[in-house]
Amino acid sequence: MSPRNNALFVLLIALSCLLPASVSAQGMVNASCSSQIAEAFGKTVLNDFKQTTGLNVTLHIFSSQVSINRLKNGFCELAASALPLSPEDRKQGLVAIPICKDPMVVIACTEIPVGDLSLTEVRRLFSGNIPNWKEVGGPDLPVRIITPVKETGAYVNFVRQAMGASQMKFDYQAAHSSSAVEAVSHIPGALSFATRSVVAKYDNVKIFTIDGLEPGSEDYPYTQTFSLVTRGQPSGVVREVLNYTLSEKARANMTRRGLTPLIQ
Amino acid sequence: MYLKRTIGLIWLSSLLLAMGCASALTMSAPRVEETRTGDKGVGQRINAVYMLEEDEGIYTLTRQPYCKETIEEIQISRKRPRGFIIALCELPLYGLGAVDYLMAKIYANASEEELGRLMADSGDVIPCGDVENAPGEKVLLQFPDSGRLKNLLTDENAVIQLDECFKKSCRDLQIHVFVKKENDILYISTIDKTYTH
Repeated sequence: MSPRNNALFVLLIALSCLLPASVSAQGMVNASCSSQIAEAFGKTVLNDFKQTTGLNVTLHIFSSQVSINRLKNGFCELAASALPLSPEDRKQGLVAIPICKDPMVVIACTEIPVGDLSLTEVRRLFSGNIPNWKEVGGPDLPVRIITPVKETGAYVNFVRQAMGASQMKFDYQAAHSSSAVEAVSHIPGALSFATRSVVAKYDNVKIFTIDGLEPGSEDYPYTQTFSLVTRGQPSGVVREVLNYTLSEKARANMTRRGLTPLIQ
Repeated sequence: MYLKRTIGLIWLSSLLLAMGCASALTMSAPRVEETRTGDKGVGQRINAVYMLEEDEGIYTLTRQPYCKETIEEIQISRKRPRGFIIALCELPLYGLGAVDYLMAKIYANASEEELGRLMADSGDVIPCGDVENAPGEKVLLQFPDSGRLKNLLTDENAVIQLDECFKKSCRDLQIHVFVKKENDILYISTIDKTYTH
């Protein structure tokens, strides 16, 4: 072997040692989580999990798609995602267990006095066909569309459920779906969408009813399912995390935060 | 030359003075109390681990009891060996330091007195029984493809009747199986027929 090949071999060995170990320590779970799920569940849930099980969770927050990709590539053992698995993901052995659902709400800043929008108005607003709030009974204020980036579960789910064949337009894009809510609370005329449990924390953000339906009511059209995703069947400490999520205490916490547990 | 001899004399007398110091220091040391771990045992039963076994399309729920692992804690009182560094200094004297420290160790071990024993939890859980069938258990099936949930009980042979769930008219190819225990829900297994149906 030439000295150059030797050097390359040593470099490869060194790099392989630097690759992230999916399980860093016994009793430790490395998880990737969608930002809206992390916001919806709140940080206190991690402390409670540690107290209940004695296990530690290291949480990394990304979009749903990135979280799933990290799981596929062995960067974590558990992902929390708002996106359903693709057939390709399932073929690769990923297992998604739907845990809870949350309605997706259309939001604006509180200066907009309009309380209800129709499905068609929502579609026309987000496709840029209604450029001013006065066209839906609001003030003479330009509609500024804020969306999270396309990789987020919120964006994918909303486009699929609300936009039909229309193209989504935007004036600003936020890196995380929860950041879009923050932006709406500060920009006059801003319009966006988000999961309800995240919006509930903001006093200066308005939630629209859709065709007279309150978010969370039976026929409300936009909803998201939050799932825990694992590589293969959950086992070991990952299974402990799942069982904690299904425990009575965790389900009560979900309900308190406005989420609807799917397994009970 | 004179200085060399003086240093040599001081060094030799120091070595002679140090002879037996480790043993003497150990003998004069105060007793200390220590806790030593003894045998492991099986403690209180805490839960059961459920498993789903498949044999030619028949799914049977089994369970294995798990208990807290206990460990015996032995309280002892003893003297600790002392004078290791002095024994090292003695080594050039025909290896006398090794003998001195060995004597100190023997004396320290001989001074050991047992004060009492008690059983404590080791913090681990261990299986404490055979795997057995679990008849009459509340089972919850989640069909992620259609969003359905189904509650059922395992029959007297602990079999979960899933024939209906995999009929061709059903579009569900994946089922998550859970067991309901009091108010908690435990994940058991996922049956995936996506690539075998």
